[in-house]
Amino acid sequence: MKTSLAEPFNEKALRQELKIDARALGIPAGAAESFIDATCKSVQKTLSDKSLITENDLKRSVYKELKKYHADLAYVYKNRDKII
Amino acid sequence: MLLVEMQPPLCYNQSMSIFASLGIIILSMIISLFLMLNPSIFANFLHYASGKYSRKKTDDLSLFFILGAETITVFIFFLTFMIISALPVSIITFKNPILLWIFTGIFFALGIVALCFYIQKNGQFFIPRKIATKIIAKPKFIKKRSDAFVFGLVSNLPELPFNLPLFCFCTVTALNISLSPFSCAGFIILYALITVLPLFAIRIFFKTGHTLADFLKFRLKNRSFLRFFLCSLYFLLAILLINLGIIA
Repeated sequence: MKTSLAEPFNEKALRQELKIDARALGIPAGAAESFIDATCKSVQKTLSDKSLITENDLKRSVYKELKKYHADLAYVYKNRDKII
Repeated sequence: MLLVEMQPPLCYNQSMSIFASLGIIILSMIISLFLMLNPSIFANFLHYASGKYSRKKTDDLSLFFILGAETITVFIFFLTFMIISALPVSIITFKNPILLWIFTGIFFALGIVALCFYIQKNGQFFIPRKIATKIIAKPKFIKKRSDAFVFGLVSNLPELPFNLPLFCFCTVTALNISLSPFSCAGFIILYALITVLPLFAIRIFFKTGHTLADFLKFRLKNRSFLRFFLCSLYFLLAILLINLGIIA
């Protein structure tokens, strides 16, 4: 029986998802790229001292960072699972 | 001499006037128009498509999604119609009080479910989370028109608990006012067209520069209104049924 559902943090998937969201929200590609970079770096830094985090922790951390750059993108990222 | 007693042919009851029946059908259509699960799935799909593909391809995929939703509605409605019209007339006539009480009970129950469970506090719908997660993630893998069409077909199914009783009720009402076969087909297609109107509205909403964030904010803001509105429409339908059918 599977006891642990832990998996390594996939930064590439996060970047991809954020890029799609940014494009859908009409954010220029260059701007989106720069603040996705900044967000990912900051999130990595925040989470580097922890060996295990929950998905919600990660989501909260990304939301907190994204909110500094683009409120709508952060909002969509945070509420993605609440659409349905 | 052989005397044969002529009995009147068994026919559907006309106790509800045509106007009352049409009014009830229109009310059912309005309820279908305000069900928000399918439009939300479509909004999520449109968001992903516009983030991944060109405008032209997004338009194309969204049209096929709508076509899928329309097709499944017509198919389910026709199926309902065929099954119900195959039942004995004595069962599906409005003279049968058991039938009226069943519909009344279902509509009261749906009203309560719409009020308490249809949309939760955080904006999530009533469907199980595992299914919802799969539906949310599905648009990532949609590349072709056929995928969009099939997704449109499937996306209508989670809302069936709210839609199917309305289909059944409209079928019974249509049979009771003795619509001709052509009128029945026209009525079903019209009903299906009305149920996909919100999808066209969302398409226009996104085309006019609005985003998924705006849609989510709008839905969360009006969540309570939607719940109460749906609940009151179902209750109204049940009360009308008692008033026009059972008491009359």
